[in-house]
Amino acid sequence: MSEPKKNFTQKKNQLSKFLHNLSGQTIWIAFLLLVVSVSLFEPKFISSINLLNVLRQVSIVGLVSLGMTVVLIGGNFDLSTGAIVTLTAVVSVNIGPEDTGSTMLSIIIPLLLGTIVGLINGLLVGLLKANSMIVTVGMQFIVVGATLIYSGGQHVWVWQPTQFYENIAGGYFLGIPNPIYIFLILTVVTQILLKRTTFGRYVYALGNNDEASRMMGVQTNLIRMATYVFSGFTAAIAGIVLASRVKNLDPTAGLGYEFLALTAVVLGGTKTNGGEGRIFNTLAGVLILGLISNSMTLLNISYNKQLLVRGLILLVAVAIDARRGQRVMK
Amino acid sequence: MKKIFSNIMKLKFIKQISKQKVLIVLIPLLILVSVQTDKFWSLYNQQGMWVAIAIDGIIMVGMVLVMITGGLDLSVGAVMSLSGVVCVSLLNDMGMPMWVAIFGGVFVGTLGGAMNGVFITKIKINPFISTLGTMITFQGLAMTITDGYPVVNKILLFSEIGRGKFGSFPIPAIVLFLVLFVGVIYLHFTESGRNIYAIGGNEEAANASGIRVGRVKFIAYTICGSTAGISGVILASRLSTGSPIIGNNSALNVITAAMLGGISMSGGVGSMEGAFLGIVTIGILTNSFNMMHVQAYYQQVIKGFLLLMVIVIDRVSARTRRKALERTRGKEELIE
Repeated sequence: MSEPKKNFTQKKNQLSKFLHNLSGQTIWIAFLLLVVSVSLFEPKFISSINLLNVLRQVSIVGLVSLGMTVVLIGGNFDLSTGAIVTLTAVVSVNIGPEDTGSTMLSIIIPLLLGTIVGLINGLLVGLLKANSMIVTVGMQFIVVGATLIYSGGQHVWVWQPTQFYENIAGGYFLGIPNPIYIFLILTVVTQILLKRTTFGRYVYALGNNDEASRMMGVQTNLIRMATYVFSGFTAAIAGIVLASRVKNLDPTAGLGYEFLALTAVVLGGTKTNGGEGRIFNTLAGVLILGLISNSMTLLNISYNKQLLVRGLILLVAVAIDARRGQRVMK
Repeated sequence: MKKIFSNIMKLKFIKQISKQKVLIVLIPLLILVSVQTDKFWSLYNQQGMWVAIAIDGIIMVGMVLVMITGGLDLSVGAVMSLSGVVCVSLLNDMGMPMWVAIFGGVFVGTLGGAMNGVFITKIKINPFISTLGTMITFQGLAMTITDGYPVVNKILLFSEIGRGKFGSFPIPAIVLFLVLFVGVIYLHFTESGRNIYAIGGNEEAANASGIRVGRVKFIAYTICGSTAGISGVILASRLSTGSPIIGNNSALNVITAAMLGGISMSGGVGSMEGAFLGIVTIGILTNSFNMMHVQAYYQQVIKGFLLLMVIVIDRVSARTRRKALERTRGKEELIE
């Protein structure tokens, strides 16, 4: 008698599992719908030049949002990333990558700087358990100020960058721009870091329940610090890519990336309270944001209105996040 | 009888002021500045300094209420820009009478604060991230209204609010003291004001003892928005311009000042008087930097460091508070 019943529940379980999986992919479904509707409205969108352009544009924000996802899963925020992008880009260009030695320096020094800023953030948030948002906003102030002092408030540029430096953002491999490869490779690296290493599991544990994971012997302070270091590192890579792409920067170039990245990450379903989130979905969030801003540009909407739309998207994303959090609580 | 009572009140007030830790910074700073330059105490400099203090100080009154509930409002700067822009546009582009424009500017601020309140109390979004979202939205709105350019005011009478003086007191400073007075009265002498402390101390306990947490918080955020609106209107009048980016750094300045004055990020602690001393300290610091010709970029870095320092102090003192609490609890258990 119990056999068919069991079978039925099994089927039901399978169905609910399938539905659950599907609901996890809402963001990708939204992305596909968006692609279809935008290409119906604006046939220019679907051209391969435009698509590659969109991908190349989002790869910089994408790099920032990889680090942001890790920090957010650990239950914190990092708003200093935009400033780190600016600092590293300005320093990288100002070193003047005009021969092999200085090209090396203009890659290594920015990476170090980004990591150091991340480390300081991590020390303040990890050891003192200070509110991460306000700490990183303060850090943003300091880093932006330092960048302005360093550049004297003037544009920085490089006349004749080496071929290698030029290729970081300007080159192609198999017809696809290099920044896209850099972004995808780092996405895979982050995914492995989060899903296949102890560090990744600890980050999730930390975001879920800080106190419990500390009692289980996880060194929460260190892990939290490490998430910030990672975020600083990815922001520095984004800065180098930006520098190589633009080569003539004004010293506030990277500001605003932190909001874009945060929006992409929250849109991708990473919980703002930590403990939940997937790199794969962050990718979708990044793509959706890129798509929206590209289509707004194609539709000739001014930058100011785009700013307004960005704010609204962030608000909607966090509202959805809050609603979901309450449902889980119930 | 009345006289004695008022004397006692005065004494109590002085006692409370003298308890503020920020005086450790403020008094040496005052002495240093007075020695360094004789222009500091000149009437002209004092007037300018107090106008600058007033513009941040008015926002601080609202921010203190929000911070004591344990929240934070990052959007005040954007609200300030928006209300200034709206006020000047109403006055010049639409030709509204002055009182409508002023009211409109403050109203927009209040509306912005109320929007924050709804997001935080009804949809229950974390205050940091929701005010971050509204910050970008308001900034975009201000930019959209003006198309990214500042709007210029051509009506001279309107500029009198920010530039005028009453005797030798600049009008913004008078407004600051009025708002501060109302804020102190609200915080200490009304039920919903006192409930703010209760919520900041322990939100669940406050809820359990029948305080309408959502409503009190909503009021706090709304007041914060309207103070930002008032400040935005005054700044627009002083500059005779509604700039969509003028308030970009205000939130951080105000938060730093409030924390310097003893308001804790974790809520429930601090007083309006302390925060006021904090904002005066920041005002004097900025003023003396300007007189010593410190570049704006360096000032930005120094202020960032100041904020981080204040955060560190806040965390350390919160830790000692908690440890002291645990110690007394331990003693009680021993006695039992």
